[in-house]
Amino acid sequence: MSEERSFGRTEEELRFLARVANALGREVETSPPEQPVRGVRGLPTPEAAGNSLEQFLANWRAVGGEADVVRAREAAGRVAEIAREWGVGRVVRWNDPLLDELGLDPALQAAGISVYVWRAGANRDEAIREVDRADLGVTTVYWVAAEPGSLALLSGGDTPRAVSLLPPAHLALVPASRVVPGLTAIMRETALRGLSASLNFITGPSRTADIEMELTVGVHGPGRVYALLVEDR
Amino acid sequence: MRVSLFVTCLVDSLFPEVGVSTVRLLRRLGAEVDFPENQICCGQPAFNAGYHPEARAVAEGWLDAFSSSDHIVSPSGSCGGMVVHGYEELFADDPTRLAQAREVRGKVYELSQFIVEVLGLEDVGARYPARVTYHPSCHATRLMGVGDAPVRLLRRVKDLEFVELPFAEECCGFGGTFSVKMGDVSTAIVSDKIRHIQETGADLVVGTDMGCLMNIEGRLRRIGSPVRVMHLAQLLEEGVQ
Amino acid sequence: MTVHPATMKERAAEALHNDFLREAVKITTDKFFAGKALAQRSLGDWEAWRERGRAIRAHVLAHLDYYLGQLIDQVKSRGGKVHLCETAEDAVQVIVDIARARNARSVIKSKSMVTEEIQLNKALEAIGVRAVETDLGEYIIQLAHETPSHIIAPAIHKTKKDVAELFSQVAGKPIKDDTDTLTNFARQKLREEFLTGDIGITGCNFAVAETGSVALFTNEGNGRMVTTLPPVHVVVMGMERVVPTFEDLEVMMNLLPRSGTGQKLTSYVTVITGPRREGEVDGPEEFHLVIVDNGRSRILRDPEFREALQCIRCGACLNVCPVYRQIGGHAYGWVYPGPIGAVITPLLTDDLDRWGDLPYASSLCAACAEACPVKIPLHDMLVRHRVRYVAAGKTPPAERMAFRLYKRAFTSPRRYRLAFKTAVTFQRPLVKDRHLSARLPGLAGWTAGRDFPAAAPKRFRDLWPGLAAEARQMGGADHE
Repeated sequence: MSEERSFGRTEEELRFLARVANALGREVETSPPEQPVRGVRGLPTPEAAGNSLEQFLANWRAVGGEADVVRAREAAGRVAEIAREWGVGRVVRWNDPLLDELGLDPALQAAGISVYVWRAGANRDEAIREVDRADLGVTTVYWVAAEPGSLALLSGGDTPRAVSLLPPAHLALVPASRVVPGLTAIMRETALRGLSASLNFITGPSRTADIEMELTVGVHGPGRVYALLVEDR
Repeated sequence: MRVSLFVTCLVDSLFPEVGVSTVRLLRRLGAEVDFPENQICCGQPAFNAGYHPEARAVAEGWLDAFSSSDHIVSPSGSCGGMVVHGYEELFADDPTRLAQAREVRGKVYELSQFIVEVLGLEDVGARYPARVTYHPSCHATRLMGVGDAPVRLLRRVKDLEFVELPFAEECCGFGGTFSVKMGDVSTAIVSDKIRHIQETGADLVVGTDMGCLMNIEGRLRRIGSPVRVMHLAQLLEEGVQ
Repeated sequence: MTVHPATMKERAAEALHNDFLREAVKITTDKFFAGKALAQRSLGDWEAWRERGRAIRAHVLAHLDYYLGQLIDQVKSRGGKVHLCETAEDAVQVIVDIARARNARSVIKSKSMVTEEIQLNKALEAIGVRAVETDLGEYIIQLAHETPSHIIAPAIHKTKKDVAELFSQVAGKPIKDDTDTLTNFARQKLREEFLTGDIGITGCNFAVAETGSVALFTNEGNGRMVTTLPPVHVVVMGMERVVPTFEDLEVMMNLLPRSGTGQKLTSYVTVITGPRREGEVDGPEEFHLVIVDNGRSRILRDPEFREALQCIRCGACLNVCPVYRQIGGHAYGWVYPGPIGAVITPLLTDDLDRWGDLPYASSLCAACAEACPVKIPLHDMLVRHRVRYVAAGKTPPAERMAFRLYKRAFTSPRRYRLAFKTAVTFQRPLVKDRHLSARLPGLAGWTAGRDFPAAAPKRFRDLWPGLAAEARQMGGADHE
């Protein structure tokens, strides 16, 4: 990120920062301090040692996620199957070209399931209404981390946050090439290429243990989460 | 090997038999034991209660008493921990005493630590037929890094059936003045400890610190429990007779 | 609101009478603790990770002015607004102003300790804005008009039946007391709130200086709802909660959930960077970052306590604290319970008369310091607090007298001998089987529940000459 300051300091800022500096016994620092250590550099990170895909499946399932691996041409059919199994009537999905390429909509519609595609600039009230009454949200992913078993999703006009959140179930189509061993690559990449307004790491279903420590899933977010890994060929 | 006994004020005045066992055990294991007679207390009671000028006065006496010792061995990880950990804080503003404290720090051992780490012994040749569980004292573990030395020693005692104590690492609730100032919370904590001891079915609970043990024993007696309490030094020393 | 007594001792006594609370606290803390041990192992060298966490947090504190400046710039450059608040009142006023400007009727909140600290909800209610807590545990205690009892699991002191009663009142009809039904009811009720809330307010687990991002660690998804649906998102953060870079956030992602709940990662880690972008339909159009000092610069200034600001609010110190495990969070009286609460409450409030007794709620077993993922020396700090309390003359006269006598008796072998003899003489009528069980003045806290050992007839040092002779008789030849 840029180190330069494009904004002049307001009076309020100057006063606040001066107080902090004063508590540290000096004037306000204006040049970046050298970091003696940074991030996980030099630490043994808990990244997948062997096959990342296998490791992801194991970790994702361990936290209550469901998963499968399919070939690209089987993907849409498999989604329709899962949707039918889960009793899904309405799907809301991201507007990711990958989902069009996989032929998702025809497959779902053939199964009698309606599909709402949330596109950039959609009417907000309509889009929210659709996603609130959907039974399943379908997204892709930015990356998947084998350790600790997390989907990383970036928000954008065509990749809204609500689709992986409001419906009681979430299914993510994951190109197998986007599985990386751990968080480190994602953190570095993200910082380098600039951030979306929202980056979400999803690790299993929405859960709570707030009532007598009994685990319950699906309290506000999806109670069922499915990662469908799509092999590239 | 020459060893100076740091007996602690608690053992000195309330449990002298533990000091006697410590001396006899160390001798049997080949050490030559001396007793610096000017020692009284390490200052911990006042230190933990926040009375640091008082603690410093007492701790200075301790530093003077042990200034010429090579190995300092104590039947208490808590009092040892005071010297090893607390003096750094207590003498932060007194360079002379701080230097003394740092000098002596590397020479202080809790008894079981000394036997296992310095003498290199785990089997002291003891026999003690009983079902025994062990309560690790917080300060021995967390301030002195005693680790599993006491367990290793116990596991090598013949005819002794060792049972792990559930939640062993949880405090017994003693905490010096805490046990009096917040007596009801302290009693609640030790009651849990005793429940765990009873779950083991042990006849005997062994520890390495009389502060914890007098707390545990005090509660056991009050509820009329037949479980006995013993310092590790006593068990090992009686066992080798 | 439940009113609790004024002293730590009295509040603890009250808690000790609540068997359900004590059982629930133990079950919760045991579960978290066991999970932590497992999750720690999955990281490999836990000590190296702790040291890294400590180093990053300590570095930030040493350069907090720089990193706050960078954070402010980054948030502004992404279209967010930053509000710098020296006091709780300033922070409350900022948020009240935002609510007024938006004509807000309701505010939906995701768990935030600092909003408890500044008593935000009360201020919002006062201007007619409903503040709705959306974390299930927080929702429950809000309905009950209570305060959280655990940092991570705020409603552990409530039974299913308690919750069912509260929900039945809200529903106007009986709600069954099984967990699924209760959770489902809360889901539906709160979904309405999410969809209609005018402003979303969250805390901040970490703010990333280099990007101006705010990271939220949640399990239920309410944090995501609050940052996705309302048109305005207000983040309230204690000013110390900064990490320099995105890479550093990864360290915290590995430390925080493992230490707190024993998860490798919470179900959601949501990293928000400014308001929604061009083309985005959901997410807030306004993003506010409220940075709160409220006593923190006083801690920063204080070399004996600065490290307390390293805290990442994981709750690990609560889960291992023998005192917390007996009495739960309410006994600590304010927002932050357990060992970290006993350390920071007197500092944040700067009120020794009211909170100076908290640091005595500890056996100094050091389990807290050992559990802390950023290595705050909590038990040393509890002692430092006691030193200040004593120096301020707040301890009882009898205690002061006792330690004066201690000093006199324990600095001279002669006086020590005299003191011992006196004790032996005075205890004589009370001793039975080498123990004292009567309530003794000054020892009543002990003897109410335990016997106390009597002073021995002879001290060890009185036996030493005999022991020395024993060595000579043994010949000593083998060992000399």
